[in-house]
Amino acid sequence: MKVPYISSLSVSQALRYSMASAQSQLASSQREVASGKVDDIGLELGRQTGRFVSLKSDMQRLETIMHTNELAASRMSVSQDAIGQIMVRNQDLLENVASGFTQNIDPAILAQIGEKVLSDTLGLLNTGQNGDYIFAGVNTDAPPVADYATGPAKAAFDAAFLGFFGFDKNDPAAQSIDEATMTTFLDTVVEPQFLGVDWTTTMSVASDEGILSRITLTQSAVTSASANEDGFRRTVMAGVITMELFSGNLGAQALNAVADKATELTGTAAAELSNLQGRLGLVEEQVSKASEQIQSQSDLLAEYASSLENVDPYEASVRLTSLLTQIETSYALTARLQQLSLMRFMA
Amino acid sequence: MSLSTALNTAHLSLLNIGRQTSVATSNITNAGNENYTRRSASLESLYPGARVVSINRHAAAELFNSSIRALSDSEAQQTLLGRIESLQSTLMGPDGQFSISQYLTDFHDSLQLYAASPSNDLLGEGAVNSAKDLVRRLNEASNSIQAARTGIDSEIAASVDRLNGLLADFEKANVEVIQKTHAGADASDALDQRDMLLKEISKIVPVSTITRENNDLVLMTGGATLFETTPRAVTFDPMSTFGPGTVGNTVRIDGLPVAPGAGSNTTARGSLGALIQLRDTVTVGMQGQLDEVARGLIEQFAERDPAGGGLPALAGLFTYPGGPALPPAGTVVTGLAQSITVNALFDPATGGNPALLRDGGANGAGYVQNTSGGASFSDRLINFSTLLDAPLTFDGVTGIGGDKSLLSFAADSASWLEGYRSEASNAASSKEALHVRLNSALVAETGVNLDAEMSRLLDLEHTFEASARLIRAVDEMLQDLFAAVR
Amino acid sequence: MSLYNLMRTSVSGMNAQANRLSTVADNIANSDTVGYKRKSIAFSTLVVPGTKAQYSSGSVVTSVREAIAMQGVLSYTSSITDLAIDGKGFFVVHDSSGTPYLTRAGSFVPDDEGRLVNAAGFYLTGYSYDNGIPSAVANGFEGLEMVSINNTDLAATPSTFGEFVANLPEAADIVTGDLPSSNLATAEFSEKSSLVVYDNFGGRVVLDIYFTKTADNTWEVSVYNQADAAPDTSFPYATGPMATQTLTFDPANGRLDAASASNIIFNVPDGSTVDIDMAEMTQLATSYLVTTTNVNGNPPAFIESVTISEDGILFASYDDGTLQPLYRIPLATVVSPDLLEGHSGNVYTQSPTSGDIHIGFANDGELGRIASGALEASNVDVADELTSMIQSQRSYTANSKVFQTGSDLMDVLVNLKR
Repeated sequence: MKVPYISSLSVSQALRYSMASAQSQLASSQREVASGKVDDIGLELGRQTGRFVSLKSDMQRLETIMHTNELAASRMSVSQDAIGQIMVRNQDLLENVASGFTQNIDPAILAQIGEKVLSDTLGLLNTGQNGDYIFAGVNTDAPPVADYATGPAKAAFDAAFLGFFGFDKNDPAAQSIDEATMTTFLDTVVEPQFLGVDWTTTMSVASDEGILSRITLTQSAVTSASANEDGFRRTVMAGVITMELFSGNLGAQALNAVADKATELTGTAAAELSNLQGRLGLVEEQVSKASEQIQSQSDLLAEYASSLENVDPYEASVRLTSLLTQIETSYALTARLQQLSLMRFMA
Repeated sequence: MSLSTALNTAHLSLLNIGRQTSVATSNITNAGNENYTRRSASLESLYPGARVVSINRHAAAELFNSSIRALSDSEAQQTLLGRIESLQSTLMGPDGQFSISQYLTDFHDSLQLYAASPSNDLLGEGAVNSAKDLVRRLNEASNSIQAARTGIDSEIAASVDRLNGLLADFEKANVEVIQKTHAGADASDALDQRDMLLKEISKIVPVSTITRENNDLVLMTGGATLFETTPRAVTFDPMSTFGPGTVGNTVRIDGLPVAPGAGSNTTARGSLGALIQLRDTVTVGMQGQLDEVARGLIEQFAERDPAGGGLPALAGLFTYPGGPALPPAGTVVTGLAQSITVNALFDPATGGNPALLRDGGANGAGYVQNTSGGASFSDRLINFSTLLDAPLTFDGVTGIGGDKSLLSFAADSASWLEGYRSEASNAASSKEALHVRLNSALVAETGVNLDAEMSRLLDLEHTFEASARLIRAVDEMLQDLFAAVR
Repeated sequence: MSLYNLMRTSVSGMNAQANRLSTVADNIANSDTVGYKRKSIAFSTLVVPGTKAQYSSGSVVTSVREAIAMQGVLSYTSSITDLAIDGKGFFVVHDSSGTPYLTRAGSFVPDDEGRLVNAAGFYLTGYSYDNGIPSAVANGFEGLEMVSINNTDLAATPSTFGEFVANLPEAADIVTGDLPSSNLATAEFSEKSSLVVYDNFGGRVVLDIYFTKTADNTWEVSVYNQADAAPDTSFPYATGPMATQTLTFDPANGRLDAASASNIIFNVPDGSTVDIDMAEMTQLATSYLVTTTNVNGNPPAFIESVTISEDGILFASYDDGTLQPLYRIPLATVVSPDLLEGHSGNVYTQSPTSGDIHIGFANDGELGRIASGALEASNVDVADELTSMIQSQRSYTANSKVFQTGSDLMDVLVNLKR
């Protein structure tokens, strides 16, 4: 018969090993209960860690994009506001020129209104935000439109008038310009200056392309309006002809043609500006939708990430408690086993 | 039987009790010594009238062999795990703060911020600084991997020295065992000593034993002879420093190279195989992954001909000593992570212009993409930030190659490392558990039970008393006789 | 006449008892002498012729008996060179002049010349291993010499034969490149082991043994001297292979084919020809596993200790762990040991009646075993001797009473005439 044998060392060692392992688990369980997170996420997830790392990275990147979306949104709302202002001026001009002329208001006053609308519009087009001119296309470090009176545009206009009629607008001969000739002048000479390519040489340094913004991880959108938009040009042109031609020596017939043209220009401009507002509004909505989408995506990711790294607090504390119990039992057992020795009975 | 014989026998019994007591004492003294194998003294009747004490050593050879085999396995896995953990904490940092993935994400974010306000030079500088952080992290990670390799190499040298020392000691213990065994003397102490040395050797290399005449041991490791009459030479030539492409020297036992282990649940047995695995496989793999990240950065941020003309793609924001030509696509360029730099043309600290990042043209006017010079030109920046998500071909030798984006390659790299660590950790606990289990079975079998020894002492006490009684009885009988002689 | 007779008889009785008391005194005095054999007195009658009517008392004659053949109790000591015999044999010892004696007193210690001498000054003899394994000369003391330990310097023994058993992995790849026997730097091999052999000067020569699978069931064995190895790669060695052999295995059972070579023979540099037996090699589907490696021979070394085995072989244990037999201690006996002639120092010589001495080895027949670290106590029992003494005393008194009675009767007789 083989007598079962066990050495004293192995009895005490067994307890020591189980105690050591329980205590090291205890430390990690304590941290888990305190932080609510898995103690060592890499160890827990192993080859799945990449998913967690990607989640964290995506969350951080989405947050940055949300932040930059706010920038774009604020730029667009400032743009909307400025366009709105311009529309108000445009409407002013339309009403004054259309109604004022028929009510025989002094052309000089109309000219003043035209001047005011022009300078306001140009001022609004040069609106800046954070040091960027928002209507400058991508060329945001320079004011998109030059001042009319001191810039090349006025010289070009005056030269064109002189070239077309052979005298300047203050010449007494101007009195005799008939409506048709004036209409021809406005349509064929002045209009190309503003609506044609001359605009970018005399008035505007803005680029046609707007600012491109990345509004989601995969989507980009143009989030600015350029000063080169037709609506702006027409408003400016209407302002210019009102200011220039109502202040000259033109006869009623010619002024009639001017008023007609200004009315036509402001009318079209109003439509185009509201069109532009609509376009910007669409982008604004797109951006806000993107932000919402990013937000919900980010929330989902956060939820998923936390499901990976969070521990069930109930389970963790139960584990902690059972570990404590186990260690206490170990202590008690050790103490009892130390008592259990033949030595005590031999005295 | 005569009275004299009785006296003689009782006298011998006293002597034997003395020797048995000394065995019990030695057992009790060593009750806490794991390397001590319990002996027992048994009486043998060899010749008439003489009972002698023979000392049995309660070795459990099979259990001991399994235990040292498990020790080899466990030691290899522990060595691997320990090194992986320290590499993991240098490469990943707490909560992955130091991970390449984190630095790539930060870089992406500063690019995105710059893209949102391209006219803001400060943000441009921020993006370049972020790129510098990323590059510095790659350099540091690469350096720490190489430093770890240097450390591992010198640890291999230390292990080899220790192994040679242990083998020399083993020879002495083995000689003593042979002499004592042949002389029929008690070789227990020498055997204990030899077993302890065997355990220590097993921690470094796996050992199988052949027992020859007179308990002479031959040690083999794998197919190589480790000890046979004399220790065999274990040779190794350590390197003073390691660079990314440095190949460490081979450890040879009796002329045969020691094979590295493989896998996270390592096939290495003994710390030496695990160390060689770390030096030649694991750290090289990690370096390769960093090198691929560096290559990916250089490639993705290269300047290309905006007009789609014939201009070659050249290194842009990220460059390396071989620049501006791009490194070959799809293959690891060893050491790239250590040599990658941020192009000085972009770096405001060295007089460069961060706006080159927005406009292009670091390699000449032909590469300028922002031809109009618009300050809010963001196309190129947005393109860059999406390029971090765009697929690229990575070398398969990294273990995580294929067509994937830089960000997901970096995430996979983290997965690889953590997976390796987690598997190594699991394997370590199971191998450790097996060793603890076998070792405690061994200790249970060969160790000393104090109670048993105490009760044996009590027995001896009784025997002693009885022998003393016997002597007194014989003495009294003789007294009677003497009284009769007048 | 009979009264005188009676008185003479009682005197002879008293003398006999005095004789017996002398042996008792001797026995008690030597009760602790190693190898002492109890002496006793045997009595026998001496009859004086008389007539039918008249009895003449004779006398008693004594003869000494020694219980030489009676085994004494063995008591254990801590000295290896204390020897005792369990059986009928005797050690053959020499006195200082070289005269042989037999004894069982085995408390030997080495003297200044390393000779083993016992308490009475007799030297132990044995057969030396200097000229090979000795055999006993059955009926003479020829060939016996004094056992001397420290004068024996060990000449190193070169290796001559050995055994190597290993399993070669059946699944190993067949090596198609350069074989080890070519001694090229590009040589490839399947398995390698190494083995220590000894040259003529006892120097250790480490041999590299390469096993290379050259075809299914065919392995090439090449033996090189490790000292010639190139650093790291081993190949090429400075000199070619010491020997090359081809082993073929039987595919039916993985053992060596009957037709295959089963050993490899080579010359050790500065040494002998060594024949390594490989008959037990196997080729089974498991890993390379060496199971036996044995080579004879030993290096020169100093004697660390001696051991004496049960069959009387005195081994020297050298400081490098090798063991070498030096002497074989014979045991001698005679037909009737009790009739041996005793001499001082517990030694005996052949007597006319004891029969011839014949010599043999321990553990061989009735000669018995040699116990090292033990002594044979004297076979005297004190109690026995004391009882004998009391008996003698009483007999003596009884004899003296008889004498006194005779004397009284003589007195009466003398007083008749007044």
